[in-house]
Amino acid sequence: MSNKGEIFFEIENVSKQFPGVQALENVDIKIKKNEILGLAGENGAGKSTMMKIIAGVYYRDNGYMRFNGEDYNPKNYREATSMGISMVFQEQNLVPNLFGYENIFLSHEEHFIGKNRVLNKKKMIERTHHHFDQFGLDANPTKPVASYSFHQRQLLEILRAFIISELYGIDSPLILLDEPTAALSEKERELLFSKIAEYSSRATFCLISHRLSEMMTHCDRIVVLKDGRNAGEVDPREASVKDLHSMMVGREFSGDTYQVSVQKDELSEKNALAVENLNHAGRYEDVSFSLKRGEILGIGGLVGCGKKELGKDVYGIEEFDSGRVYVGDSPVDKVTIPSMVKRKIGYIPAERKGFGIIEYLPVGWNLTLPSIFILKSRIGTLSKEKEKRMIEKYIDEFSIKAKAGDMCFSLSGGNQQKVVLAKWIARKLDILILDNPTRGIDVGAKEEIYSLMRAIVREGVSIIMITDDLLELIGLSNRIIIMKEGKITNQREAGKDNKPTEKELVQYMV
Amino acid sequence: MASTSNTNNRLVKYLPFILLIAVSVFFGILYPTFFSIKNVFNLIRQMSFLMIVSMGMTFIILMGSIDASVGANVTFSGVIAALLGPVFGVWAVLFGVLAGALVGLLNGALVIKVKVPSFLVTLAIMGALDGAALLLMNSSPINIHDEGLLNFSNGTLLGNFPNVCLIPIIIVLVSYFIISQTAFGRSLYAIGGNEQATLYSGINVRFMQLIAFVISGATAGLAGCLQASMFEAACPYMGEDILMNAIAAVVIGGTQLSGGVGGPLRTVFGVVLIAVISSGMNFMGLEPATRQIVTGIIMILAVSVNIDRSKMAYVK
Repeated sequence: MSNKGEIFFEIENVSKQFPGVQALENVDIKIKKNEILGLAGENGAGKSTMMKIIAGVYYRDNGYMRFNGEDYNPKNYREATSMGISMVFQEQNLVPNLFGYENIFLSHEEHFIGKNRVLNKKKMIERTHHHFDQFGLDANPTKPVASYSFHQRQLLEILRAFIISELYGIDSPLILLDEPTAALSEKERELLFSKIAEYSSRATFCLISHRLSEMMTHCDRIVVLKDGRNAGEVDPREASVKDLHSMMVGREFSGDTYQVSVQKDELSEKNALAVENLNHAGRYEDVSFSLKRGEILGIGGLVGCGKKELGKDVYGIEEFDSGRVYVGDSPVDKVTIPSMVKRKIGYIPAERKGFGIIEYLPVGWNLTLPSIFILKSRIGTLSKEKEKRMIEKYIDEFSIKAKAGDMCFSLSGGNQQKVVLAKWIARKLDILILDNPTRGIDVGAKEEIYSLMRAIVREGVSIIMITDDLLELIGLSNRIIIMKEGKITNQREAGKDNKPTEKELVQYMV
Repeated sequence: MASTSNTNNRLVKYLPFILLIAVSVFFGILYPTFFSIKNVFNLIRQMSFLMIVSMGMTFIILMGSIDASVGANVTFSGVIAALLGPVFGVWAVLFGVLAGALVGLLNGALVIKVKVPSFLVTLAIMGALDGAALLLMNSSPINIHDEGLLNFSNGTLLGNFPNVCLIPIIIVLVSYFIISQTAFGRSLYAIGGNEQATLYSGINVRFMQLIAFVISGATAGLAGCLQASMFEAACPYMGEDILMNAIAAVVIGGTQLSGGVGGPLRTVFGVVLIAVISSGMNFMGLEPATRQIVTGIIMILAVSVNIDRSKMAYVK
């Protein structure tokens, strides 16, 4: 019955542009029936975009897609599912308060309208029971999915793909999995992959994972994307994780983007900040490091390694369980945002829109927000005079392309990020914690941010830079810390003439 | 899309002003006595406590919250002042304001500690306050006989200028000063615009929220004292209408329910507009019940023009 090897789904010449970013450019992928295909690439390589185009969530700008030999142009996700293509999203796509069977048939209920136009729930439940039994999912279809374990919910999503396909008379669905294992324990991961292997006689899978070794073990074939283009293909039986990674990274590291030439390698012996035995259950454990005055300390690692949470905890956004944070040489009693700002520490979040800027306030007000309580007039009010001077100075110094009165939402991502950076520099800080400072901004703006960072450091500010971008990590940092599954696995110098290669760092990440 | 939102913004900005002129001209032509000195003073008397409460409400709505307890707080604080009138005379007002401020403190503390949306917290407090006021006055009005306390509204402190006009003007000026000239005022805009980003910027958001609720409570308390003094009694549910009118005044003025946009001067227009419409309907001989229906309709119209749908998440 299985026609393994037959071309099942074809992607030809597909491109997709987002404002300011070419997410995909002329990508070709062929998916064979009943295989488990891996999709690999760095962050921003276009993997998730590709999957979402297949699933009808996004629409391609040009190119063709063929499914079972026929042109395939789904208008939306629902239409894709009714044609036999389903996606298990990174963030689960279930309604927690609805029952298992209700989630399965959500938006496909019209198949169960019985006499009197009433929904035939009995039939829905029976059908769900039948499939749960058949696929070995030990869960109650008439309980809210919020009561299921994470693993059960994930299986439910995979099962849904089978059940919906069957509903539309399709015998072999294509199931897209976007980082299904990111939140799973090792045991659950094994369980999931054994299920996938088991189901693969009846379906075709396409999988994205940051765990390269996992892809090597479980995939039949791996297609590599880089900067939105095809970078090649790997046969896991013949290649190694190293081969896969070098294909993902591809280019040789070039020095100029990150202004390595102006990097200052003679660092003060004094600590700007130190962290001692910091623990946060489930996030990271026993983390200690110090930040020297005037350096850029880069923290890298895969998504979910705990580096993001570490940054948030050190700034006081969330609370760590135990350990100590020192600013200069003095310990901080209670790490809260106001207390850290008082100690001249600022934080720039990766989610610019959610936490960085206030979209519906003017650029000027965004810029002075951390400083409003120190911009005092003689009678203690907010000095408009001083504020105006501050705004003019930093719009000019950071070459922010906007007027003070423009609403922040109207700015490009790069200019917004410059506003966020400027608001902290205007506050006269000693330490800045940056989480992915250049995420989602175009290349030109990136270089501007890098040169601003170099300039800030020259003036004595110390920076902790948490980043998913390996090149940025290597290019900008004086020293690099690599984390893996909540622990520091490597700490090394990254002096001007002593930059590590990506491969050297990746071995500590995976 | 940009152009429609621009026209929309301009419309929102000038709408209260245009409406006010239109409505005034309409009633002025229809009823020649509408703008007689007597009626104008009457109008000012009528809008005085609404103006005070709406100023407090502006602080709250600017940061994207709601204080649903102001009406009940007016009643409660009025009762406190009326009860203490025989002992403290005009100084009973201080206790009334203090009582209102304490209610505000309780509101604020619950909002920031229990982390329940302010609307729910203050709604619960509203119920409790109405009950407490009823208990205190034994379900029947408490008459005020003390001269000092009566003079609080009827007297004059500044030449011939009646207190009932002077007090709201002072409150408007103070509110305007605080909101436009202090860091606290600025942080209200920031919290309304994006609470998380404000928090990340090192602003003590919780404390600012607390202060805003105390201010709202204190203004409700002051309005309660003024109203009791004017009515020469504290009556059950006397502040009931104020809640809806205060929210309507702030919103009609152009302060957005989602927070971050607006200000006290806009609210002044909203209050005057509501007072003129309400007085005009009085001239037309409409019953209070009908007037409430009209106010409700105006509020819905104002909100539908005012709310920027792209920003509409929820009222915090």
